[in-house]
This record gives sequence, structure tokens and C-alpha cells, in this order.
Amino acid sequence: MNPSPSLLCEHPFLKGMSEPFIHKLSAIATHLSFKAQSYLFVEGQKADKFFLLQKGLVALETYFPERGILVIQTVGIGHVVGWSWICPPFLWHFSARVIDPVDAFVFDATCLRQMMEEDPSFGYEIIKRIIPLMLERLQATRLQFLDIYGPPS
Amino acid sequence: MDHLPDFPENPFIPKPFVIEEKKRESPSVFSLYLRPIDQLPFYFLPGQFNMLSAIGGGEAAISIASDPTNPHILIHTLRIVGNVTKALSKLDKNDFVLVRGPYGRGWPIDLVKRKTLILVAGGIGLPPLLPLLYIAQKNKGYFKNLILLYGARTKDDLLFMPLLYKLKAEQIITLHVSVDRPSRDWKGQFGTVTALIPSISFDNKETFVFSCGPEIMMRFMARAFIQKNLPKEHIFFSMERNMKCAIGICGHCQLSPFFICKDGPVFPYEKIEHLLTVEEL
Repeated sequence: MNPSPSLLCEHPFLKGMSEPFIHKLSAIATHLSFKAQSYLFVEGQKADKFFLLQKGLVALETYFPERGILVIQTVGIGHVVGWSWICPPFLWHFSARVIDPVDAFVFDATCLRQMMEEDPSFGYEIIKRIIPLMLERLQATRLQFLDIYGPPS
Repeated sequence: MDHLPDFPENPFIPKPFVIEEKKRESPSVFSLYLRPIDQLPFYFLPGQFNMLSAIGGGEAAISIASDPTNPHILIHTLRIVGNVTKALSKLDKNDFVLVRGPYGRGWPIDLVKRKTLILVAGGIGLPPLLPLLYIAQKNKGYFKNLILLYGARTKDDLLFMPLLYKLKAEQIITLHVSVDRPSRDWKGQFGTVTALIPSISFDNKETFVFSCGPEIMMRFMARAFIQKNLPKEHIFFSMERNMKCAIGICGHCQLSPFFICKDGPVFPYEKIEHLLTVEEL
């Protein structure tokens, strides 16, 4: 069942978005729950979904030869999971494993991409909201790379 | 020397304390539980520091990690990083430690009474914030809400976790913990502590942030809170520099117009923001 627009607009990612846009999104959204240890998506597979987390914790992970599965980052409540659907070749770059049970709004990314193409003002609104999150993740990754808690040189 | 503060005694003469207990907190971090030989209570403000030395081993500035409502036991938590902390790490129960202090300006605790206080600690930055947790434990309701965002390099580097889980269970704090380096047995959040900020919600007018940790972490932390519309003047840092005299004379800890030992170590972010990106300061 599609989540109601009033429920959707409560999510931090969609806060303040205009009513017509929220209605558009509502038409391609479902409300799903995921158990701990299940996967939202798997690296290398087709990136055809877009997740807004309402509850729970998700680990983004990858396979590192000889070291096994490694967690790159965790993403929690109020966050977006997955943006590989925006850019070709539309394949997931990482796997997303559920750590704490998740409730999420799940969008059909192929439809969403098409809607963004057809209505650039809608597309711009989505991109405007995604870019700060990308920046936030980039900064977080940079800080992680700096090993800020490491022993002083 | 007209700028020398008016001390009742010679500020360079330390007091002897005896080690009542020594605790290993992580592979490179340990705590010393100290009792004054003269049995006099040792009063301090949360966020202040002492100059500590093993006899003949030099002095180092170490923040106070004990309960300010119990002036009979002084706790210092140290990471072994140099000669002084190495010398202190070799001491054991019943050995003597020399203490000068307390020094510096602490956290502005009156400002945050009945307000939401977010503590952001990174690595060894947790101990200077511990006195605030003890205040919350002893005076329920002192803070409207107390949120601790705590990050460390690995799971094994997380300090005082039994205490933090206890405070969480007693609903004294809301706890968010993150580690920077993956390990298979860690089931919580990954990433630096700043990555925890976007997920928390707060009332901007009634919320204050106190932070201690690597300077770069605090810089990015402040930007993340400002991005969430928290006023700059609600953010406070505890700064660290190489302190020697601890009373604002020698200049070793100078940060442009400030002496960290005397004007800090706690500063409003607003006051030092422009200095944080200046090279070699």
C-alpha cells in the first residue's frame, strides 16, 4: 500500500516539499519493514530502489578480498539509503545490510528517475535534497580517512 | 609581573597525592584514583585540569575526570603519549603523584542548567566531560536532557562503557556511540562522531553543546550543529595545547591572544572559531 502524503512529508528528507511533489512521490512509494541481517540491496545488482529510513540502522558494506565483508558506514533514522540509481550504470556500489530492524519508505527508482526527467523542477527539488546528504557523507568519509582519533604523530 | 594571578601559596609547589587505585581503561589509557596526603578536600569545576607529575618525571596537564561532588578522590585518565605520561603509567598503587591545580576555566554549567546539553566526545576527549555526567547522576533534573555522542577509533578504544551503559539504563543520558574503524564484533554505528549529529533532533534555543576531542573533530562538529541552526554561541570546546606553567605566564600554550591554561581550556566556539584554521597556531 502506498504511504499517505501526510506520512511521507514527516520524513526529514521530504520536510518542506510542496504538496504536488509529495503526491507524486506517494504514488511510487511503499512502506516496508526489514528484519535484522536482511539486505536492502546487494553490491553489483541493479539499483532500482531508493530508501528513506524511518526506523532502524543499516550498514553499508563491501567485500574485501582476504579480509571478508567490511562495514564502510552505518546509516540511521531519518536518512536516505542508496543513490546509485541516479547515475549510470545504475548498479549498487555497496551492499546495505540491516543491523537494527528497519521501517522505510521505498521508492521505485526507475519511475522516480523518469519523473525527474519529465519534470525538471521536481528533479531539481530531489537533487537539491540529495546533494547535501552526499556532501555530508563525503565529509564523514574524509574525516574517517584522516584517522582523527589515532595516536598523535 | 603585575598580571600574575593572586595565589594564596606559591603556585609552582605541587601537593603530594597517593595512588589509591590504578585502572587500565584501554591498551593505551589508564586512570589514577588519587587521595591527598593532607586529607583536605580537593574542589574543582568540571572542565578544569591539573598539572601532574611522577617525582622526577616532568609535568603534564591532565583534565580532571572525577565526580565534583566527591572532593576526597581525584581521578585522572591519561593516554600514554610522551615521557611524562609514560612515567606516570609506571606508577602503581600506594605510589606518590605530585599535583598542581586545579587550573583554567571549566564548562559553563550554570548556563546549561535545566537545558538540553549535548556532549560530543572523541577518543580521549571523554574524561573532561565525565564530571558533567556525575553531576547529572547526582542531581537528576539538573539538565533537561543530556545527550552523549561518543566516538572512538575502535571498539577497544571506547572508554568507561560500563558507566555509560549504566547511565543510559538509568535514563540519565541518551547515548549514541560510533567507531571509526570496522571490526567484525562491533554491532553499532560506524563513522566519526560527527556522523551522528544529523540524526539527532533538538530545540535550537534550549540546547547547548560541550565538546572535547581532536581539534579537527570539534571543528567539523561545530559546523554540523550550525548547519542544523544551532546558534554559534551555544557551542563550547575544550582546547588542548602544551601547557607548562598553567597560570598564563610562560606562553607555551598561547593561542593567538589567549592562553589556553588561563583563558581556557574551555572556550566558546565563537571566540576561537577564526583561529582554528590558522596554521602553526
